[in-house]
Amino acid sequence: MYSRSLSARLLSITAALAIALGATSCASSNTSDGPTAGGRGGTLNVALDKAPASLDPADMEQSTSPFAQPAYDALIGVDANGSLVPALATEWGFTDDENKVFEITVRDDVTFSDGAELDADALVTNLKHLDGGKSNVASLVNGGTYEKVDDDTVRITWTTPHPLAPQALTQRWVAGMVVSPKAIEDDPKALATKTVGAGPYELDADRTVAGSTYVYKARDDYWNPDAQHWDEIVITVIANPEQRLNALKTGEVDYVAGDLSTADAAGSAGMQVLYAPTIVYGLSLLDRDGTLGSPLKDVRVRQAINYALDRESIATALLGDYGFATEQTVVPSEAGYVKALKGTYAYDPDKAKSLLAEAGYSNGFSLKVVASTSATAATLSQVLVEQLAKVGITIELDSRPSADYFEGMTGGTFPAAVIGYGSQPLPMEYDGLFGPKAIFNPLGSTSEVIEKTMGEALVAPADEATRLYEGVVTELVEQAWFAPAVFAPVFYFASTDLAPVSVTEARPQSPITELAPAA
Amino acid sequence: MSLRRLLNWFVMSLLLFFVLSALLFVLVSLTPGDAARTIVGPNASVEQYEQVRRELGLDLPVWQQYGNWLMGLLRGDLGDSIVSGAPVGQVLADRLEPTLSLILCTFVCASVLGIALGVIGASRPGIVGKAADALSVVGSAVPNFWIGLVLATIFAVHLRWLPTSGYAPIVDGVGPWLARMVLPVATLTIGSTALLAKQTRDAVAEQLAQPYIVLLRAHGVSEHRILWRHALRGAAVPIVTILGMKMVGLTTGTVLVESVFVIPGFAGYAVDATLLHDIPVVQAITLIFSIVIIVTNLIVELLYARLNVKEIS
Repeated sequence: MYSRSLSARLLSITAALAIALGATSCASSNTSDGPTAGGRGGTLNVALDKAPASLDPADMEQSTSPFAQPAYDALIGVDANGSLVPALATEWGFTDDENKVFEITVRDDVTFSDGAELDADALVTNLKHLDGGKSNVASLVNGGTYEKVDDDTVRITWTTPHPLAPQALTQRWVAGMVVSPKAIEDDPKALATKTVGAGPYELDADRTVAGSTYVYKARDDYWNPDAQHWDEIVITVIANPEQRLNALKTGEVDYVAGDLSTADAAGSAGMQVLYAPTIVYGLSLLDRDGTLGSPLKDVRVRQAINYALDRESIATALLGDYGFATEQTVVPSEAGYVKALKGTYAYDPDKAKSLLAEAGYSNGFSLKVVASTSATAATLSQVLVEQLAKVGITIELDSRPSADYFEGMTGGTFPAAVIGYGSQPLPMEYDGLFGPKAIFNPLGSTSEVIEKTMGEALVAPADEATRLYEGVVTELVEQAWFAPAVFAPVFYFASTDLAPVSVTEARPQSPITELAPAA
Repeated sequence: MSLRRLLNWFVMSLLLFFVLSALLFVLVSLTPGDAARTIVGPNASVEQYEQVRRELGLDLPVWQQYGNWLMGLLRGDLGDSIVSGAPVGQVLADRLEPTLSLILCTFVCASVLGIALGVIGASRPGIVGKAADALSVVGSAVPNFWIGLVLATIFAVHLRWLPTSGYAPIVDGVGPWLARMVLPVATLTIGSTALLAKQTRDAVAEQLAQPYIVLLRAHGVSEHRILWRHALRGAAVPIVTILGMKMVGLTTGTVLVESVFVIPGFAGYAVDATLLHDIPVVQAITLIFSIVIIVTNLIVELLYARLNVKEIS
């Protein structure tokens, strides 16, 4: 059985991101050729919707990682196409055939903002620090042993395969961000409110108000000055999306977290509207094994629910040009996506009724569903209620605010839930979404086919792994473990004073540090 | 005000604070979720979540958590933010200036405008009085946050005369500080001025109808002196009462306005801390609010005594 390690955390992190941002969906995205820097700018003003609980990468939730990005460079970079590129690390890779032993070599010319040097010892200190971290991100490298191979190389050994370790150590996940070993050893608690990283900027603690305004000043001794596009970066927390857009329109800020409700207005105002469709919204049919005695144990019922959803109409009405319909939980650019599965459950209410009748539910049934009150999930929930009612399924919707929703969804008392979940590499989705120990699979549904195929994929070469992933996705769709509806994007809006910003399915958020003044 | 009365008053205030803080502790504990969930993220594993709960002491009974907080308070330690780990004193100190600026500026503006409008309204009971009444009704009926959104839309988004949001410390220059204070202070002042103007007008008008005013006029005292010196002094008790209420109201009333204008004050942060279940921060803010309310009431009591009021409720 595949171990629950990296994937569960990464998956859950992305799902959290999806919920937190109230994202919507979309087809490809608006992708440019990347920043065309117009020299170094003065101050970059950014408005985001949520402050971090802590600035320490070991205690930080992934959705607030933009607050760490200015100060903390990551070991591995990921470009807009999703390719891994060197950052603080120059080389990395598995040295065994089972993806359990991983070696990584760091640059030898990097110093932290407190003057400490980056080397193998610093990396080992960081990995141990992450082991003791509070957030789910810290657990991305948990469970390993860390040893110094030479001055700049560290070997990580896990007892279970970790094929996605390189992805986990990119700047997309805060686990890849490296902290000064001196700061960790001196006063790790202080890292909650200050930064001591190897990134291009350093937090100006005197001008920062935790939870509200974060000011970062450019470092004079940064190892890669070409990547410093600003003298300083100011991130302000503005919870209301309309207020963020107003601040952008008046020129008070240059870059904001957006949402579906303000996307058209941002476009009309001439702003760069950035979005990538990475969040799947739909129903998770949790009681697949009939643990709660619901009709969902019968695959025909689950398939009937899928046939009853008019996905294309939902996508058009809910998301317009920003989203697209889906029957799968991975985006088309992700390994495991099966193009041939599109249309498997084309809208067919008659077939849905027929399947329900075959399963013995010709008069329909009632189904308890827990849902979040976040904007997109709430709207989708209402649509689902209406569409399923047409085939005789009465949804007893229990809509709750975020914290209460997660307690309900993971509590094992609801046979189904409306979910918003960020697409990830399939092993991550296995650990977080559909594996037997996944947090989004609270009733522990299992499938022999999925378990066997995932186990083989873990140690398979890339091409073979992709084929095996496709088998898993096919099984999920055919067995109707979910009733996905749409893929929705995470939105960002940027001023035209910034160089064109690039987001893709492979990298739905541009790192703050890559934002540059327009040429 | 006698020393005994003063002591009784303090004891009652302290009791009130303890009851309030305990109640708040329980209420925050009863709301769904907790700080551990905030820290680990909504989708962390059960094991991670439980571990953080234990580390934060959130697995202890509520009464024990409250006891621990109270003992810390008695030692002068407000504790650390559960969420960020930063000392609560530091967290709130960073947010003191914006909230104080907002409260004091609004209090001064509302007091000057409200009393002036009230006195003028009382002396010219025609259209000015009716205007004060109308303003009072509108100011009392319309929520502050709505006024704030309208002002921001007009003066910041459309006219672009002022920034939509944010705060500039006064040490960075009076200009930027003032620019960011205008809209939030105006928002709070509109509501506060209205009621004060009406109360002042009624109180002063009542004084102007008293026999001693007729006597003063008979002695040739000028109308200006009668109005601003004698009638206003006679009307001071209800005005002081309203001012005290306004000060208390402003302390809590800044919460929404700080949110609307994204001002990093501690009033608005109370909402965030509550949502994050950051109990030490919530309790500390409660403590500050309680102190402000207690001190304000004390000042009002002292002013009553100074104004020779015999009955003190």
